[in-house]
This record gives sequence, C-alpha cells and structure tokens, in this order.
Amino acid sequence: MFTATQDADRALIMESLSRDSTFHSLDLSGFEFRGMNLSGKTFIACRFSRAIFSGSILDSCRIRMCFFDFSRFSSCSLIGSDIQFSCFSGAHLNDTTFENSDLLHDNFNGLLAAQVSFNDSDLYNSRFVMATLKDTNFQNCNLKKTMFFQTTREKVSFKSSNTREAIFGKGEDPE
Amino acid sequence: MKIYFHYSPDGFSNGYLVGNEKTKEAIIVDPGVMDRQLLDHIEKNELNIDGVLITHNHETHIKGLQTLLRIYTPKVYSADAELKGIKTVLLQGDGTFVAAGFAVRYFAAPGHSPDSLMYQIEHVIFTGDALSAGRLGVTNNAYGKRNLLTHLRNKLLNQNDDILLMSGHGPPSTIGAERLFNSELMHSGTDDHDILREILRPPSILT
Repeated sequence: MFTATQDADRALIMESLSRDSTFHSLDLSGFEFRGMNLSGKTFIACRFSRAIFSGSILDSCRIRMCFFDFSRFSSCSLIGSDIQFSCFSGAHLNDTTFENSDLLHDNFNGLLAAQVSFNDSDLYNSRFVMATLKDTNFQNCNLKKTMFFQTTREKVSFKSSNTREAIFGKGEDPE
Repeated sequence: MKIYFHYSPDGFSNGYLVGNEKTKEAIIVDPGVMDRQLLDHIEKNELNIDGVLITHNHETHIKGLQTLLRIYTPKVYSADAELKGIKTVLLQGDGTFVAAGFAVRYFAAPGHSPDSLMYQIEHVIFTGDALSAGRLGVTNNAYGKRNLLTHLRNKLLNQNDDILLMSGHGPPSTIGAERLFNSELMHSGTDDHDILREILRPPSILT
C-alpha cells in the first residue's frame, strides 16, 4: 500500500503505480497517465481531479470513492472494472470503453462523452445530470435508478436496457 | 481520516463511517441501516464509535440508530432533542464540536426538513438530503425551497471548489461540480411572487 505526501516525488509515485497493487488516499490530481497499464489495481479514496488519461488501460480495476472530476480520458479501456461511489463529474471521455463494468452510485454529471461504450454494464443509482452524450452506447445495461436529467444526446443507444427503471427528465425519455 | 460508504438498499440511502486512524475512534453519519456488513467493518478495524451525526430525522436515515445503540454507546448529535426516545446532543444554528478527535462543523440547512443539518469534517461535507449530486433537496413548498437555497448558497458555495460532498442519497460530488452542474442550485430562484402564490393557494380540501 502506498500513500502519497504532498511533496512526493512524481517518479516515485509512477514507480509505485507500476509495482504496487493497492492504493489508498493517493492524490494524483492533475497527473498525466499516457500509455499506462493500471489493469487490476485497486484504488480507494484516491483523487484524480483534472488528471489526463490517454491510451491507458484500467481493465478490471477496483475503484471505491475516487474522484476523477474534470479529468480527461481519451482512447482508454476500463473493461470489466468495478467502480463504485466515485465521481466523474465534468470529465471529458473520448473513444473510451467501460464495457461489462460495475458502475454503481457513480457521478457522471456534466460529462462530455463521445464514442464511449457503457455496454453490458450495471449503472445502478448513477447520475448523468447535464451530461452531453454523443455516439455513446448503453446497450444491455442495468439502468435501475440511473438518472438522466437535462442530458443532450446524439446517436445514443439504450437497446436492451431497462430504461423504464431509469429516471429521465420530463420529455427526455428515449422511448 | 478514512471514510467508508454504506448503502441501505431498503431506503436507498447513504450512511458513512468516518474513522480516525490516530485515535481509532469513529463517527457514523446517518445510520439508515445497521447490519452485519457495517458491524464487521467497525470490528475489523477495531474502531470505537464516539459519535453519531444525524442530518435529519427521516426514517431512512435513522432506522439503524436503535440497533447501533444496543451495541455501542456514542453520543448522538441532531437538531432534534429526542429521536426514537433517545436523548441527543441538541445542535442549533451553526457551530463546531469535537467527536472522534475530529473538529466537526455543523450548518443548519432547513428546507427539505426543518431539522436538516450538514456536517463538515476536514475537506468533506455530509449534506444529508439538503443537496445531492446535481439535485436540490426535495421541499414541500416555495418557501422551503427559498430557505434551502439561501442556506446552501451562503454555507456551501462560499467554500472551496475541491471540497467533497457526500449526500444522503446518490453518488458523491464536489462543490466545483455542483457549481457547474446543479442547475437548481445555481439558477433557480423562488421569488416573492412564488411565496405569495403559495400563501394564497386555496387549501387542497377546497380544490
């Protein structure tokens, strides 16, 4: 387990990220993760606010109570991840996949998503308030108590998902 | 400080265990449920429950209180003098107290309910049902909404964007995120005409 201090050396942190498997209370706000493979890691109560992830792999990660607010993800893979009670509010996601993931109690409010796949995922009790979704798919998802208020949607598919159990704003129902 | 999120599928409500690693004491915010999972977490980490913070007296947030008090002997903090026959440490207005070695700030935020309180421990504010991610707390009338908005704008929006918000329902957020993506908080207003309409509205029995 690794805990960062405010003046921790960036190289040491990156080395630890490659070596260790569980991280608690790590503050990596504003960090850049380019081409990193963080698959299978566990992050608890970590902060990635305004961090940049590009071409990185976070498949099968276990993430609890982490903050990715205003972060950017491009060409990233988070397949089979277990991300609960975390915040992606204001994040920009481009060409990124969360397929087959558990995304429970997550905050995606204000999300800007383009070419993103949430297919085959469980989005129970997550929120997409004021999100802008383009070429983004929620096929075969559990959307029970998933909130879509004031969303802007273009080429968004909810095929085979339980949209009737989701919460849409007035006139925003996809059916 | 370590925070453990505990969800009650019964009332769809969030409870929190806030542990102090130095003193091995802990606080529970809103015991909506007291089950084996939460008990195991407390015991495994050898935590002494020093305080229970109640954000408001709705059943989904206090259902586990009596069970909790059969096992531990914490002080219960609330804006109600008594809850389920249990005497509390009565909190009124805004202020600070110490529990589990933490300086706990509290802020009155009536509107969702008359007894609504928010608690701040270090960089985290537990908002109860006053505010959740992207949504304002539900109120019964325009006066309640205006009251709630005034309290939230004066007590939350004057704080740093990086402050974390953990609410009674739904996912976590930050003040910076709510500032941008909570249209009810930022843009809705209930003007005096709304209040007047509420006052002049005939009782429902006549409509």
